[in-house]
Amino acid sequence: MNLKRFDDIIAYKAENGITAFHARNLEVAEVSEEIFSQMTPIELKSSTVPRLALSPSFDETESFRHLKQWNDEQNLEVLSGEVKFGIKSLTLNVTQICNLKCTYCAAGGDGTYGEAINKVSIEKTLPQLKFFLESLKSGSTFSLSFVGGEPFLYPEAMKVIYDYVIAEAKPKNIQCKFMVTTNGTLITDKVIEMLKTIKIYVTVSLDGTKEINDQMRPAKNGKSSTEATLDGLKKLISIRDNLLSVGIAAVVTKENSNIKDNYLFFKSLNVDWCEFNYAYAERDQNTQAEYLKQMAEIAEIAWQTGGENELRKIRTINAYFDVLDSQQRIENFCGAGKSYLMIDAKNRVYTCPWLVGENDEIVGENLQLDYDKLGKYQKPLIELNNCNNCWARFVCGGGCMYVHREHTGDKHKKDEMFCERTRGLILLTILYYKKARAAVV
Amino acid sequence: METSTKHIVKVKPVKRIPTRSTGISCPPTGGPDSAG
Repeated sequence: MNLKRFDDIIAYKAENGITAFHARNLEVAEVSEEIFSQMTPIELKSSTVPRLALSPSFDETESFRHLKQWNDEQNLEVLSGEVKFGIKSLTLNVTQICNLKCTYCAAGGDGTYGEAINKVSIEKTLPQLKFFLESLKSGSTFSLSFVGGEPFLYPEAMKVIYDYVIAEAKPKNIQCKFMVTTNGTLITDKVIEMLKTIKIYVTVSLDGTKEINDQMRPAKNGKSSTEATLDGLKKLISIRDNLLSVGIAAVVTKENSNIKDNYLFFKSLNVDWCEFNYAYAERDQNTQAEYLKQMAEIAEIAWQTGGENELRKIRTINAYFDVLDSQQRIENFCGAGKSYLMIDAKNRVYTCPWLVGENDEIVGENLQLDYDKLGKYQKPLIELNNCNNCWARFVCGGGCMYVHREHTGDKHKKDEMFCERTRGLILLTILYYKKARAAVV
Repeated sequence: METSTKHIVKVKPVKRIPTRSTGISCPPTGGPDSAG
């Protein structure tokens, strides 16, 4: 096995050298063969600290002393990942209806979460957003993400809400960030004119070329959706200067696991970034192995064609690069219940978009929040999920509570497939991070 | 061992102000697996 571990340090041996990573200190290094030979082989699926091979001679070697010393070191520049309660990021379901019927839809199978709602109430939403804005200190940041259903079934709401939030935030000098996730099929000229008047990050959901995308993301009536999405993307790209970014999010399943071809196709569309999200419900081990293999292939294509700049257009890698550069530990995979909440199209509040429609998971409504329920979310996720022995804990942050619950029945009992997948992506990033930063030094 | 040795050569991060205090933002398509 090319992957080895010594306490909080892992190392991976490849043709071009040995890359090591210090889990607590978020440090990446090239290490010698001697160091590697004294570490214990592990597998990607393993989160336990291997027992040290009992060889008394190790203690006497210089390389072992260096390894142990590095392991024991505390990097004082590493920042805490503590997240205190304070909602600064919201997602809003502008609609709970959709014109597509994607095969893997987690929003009730049809974008409704089991309750079709054509339009969110503006009258209820504006005071609700004001409630959250009022809780922020001057100079804070505030993020609002428009989703659905398909949010461009009700673009008027986005514009009214955008203008309102900007106006409310200005006197307190709150920096606002807006995002929208769309299937891209409803980008009419009217929508384009509206988008020109706001500053927003746009994510378009697309799974590949027409052949595969029509299979995964058909229209509600079963017909093709791809031409409309590609047409929408073209229009969005044409006003890119008005937008903050345009990216593509693809979902990987057994039926759509040709990431390399999809990546090359997305690159040809000239978007700012793309991402390949493994469908949480996909349990086929071979598909997951292929996913990690092809993610490595596209990383190499990106690196060869454009170095770090191109590599960071793969959003997952970009995010992990950010963690390694900023050297801030991630103790929470997401801000659910701490810094983040989800508002459905009836103004009910949840901690996560994927819990919409589950009455037991409601943590508020309109201007009310259930602080008793939210109290259960306040410990760091890596603590709640018992991640202490995992080498990837401070980059991952404990994983997705929803995915864990779906596969283990408990938000805090980890789904091992998820963990293995995440470690694989973090390891891949570490290998390229060393290449990128070694070039800087 | 604050600095590199002949056995361990650390790379230097490009120091940035942290852009995130939590993990990767959840992609709202296909499921919340934000390993992407």
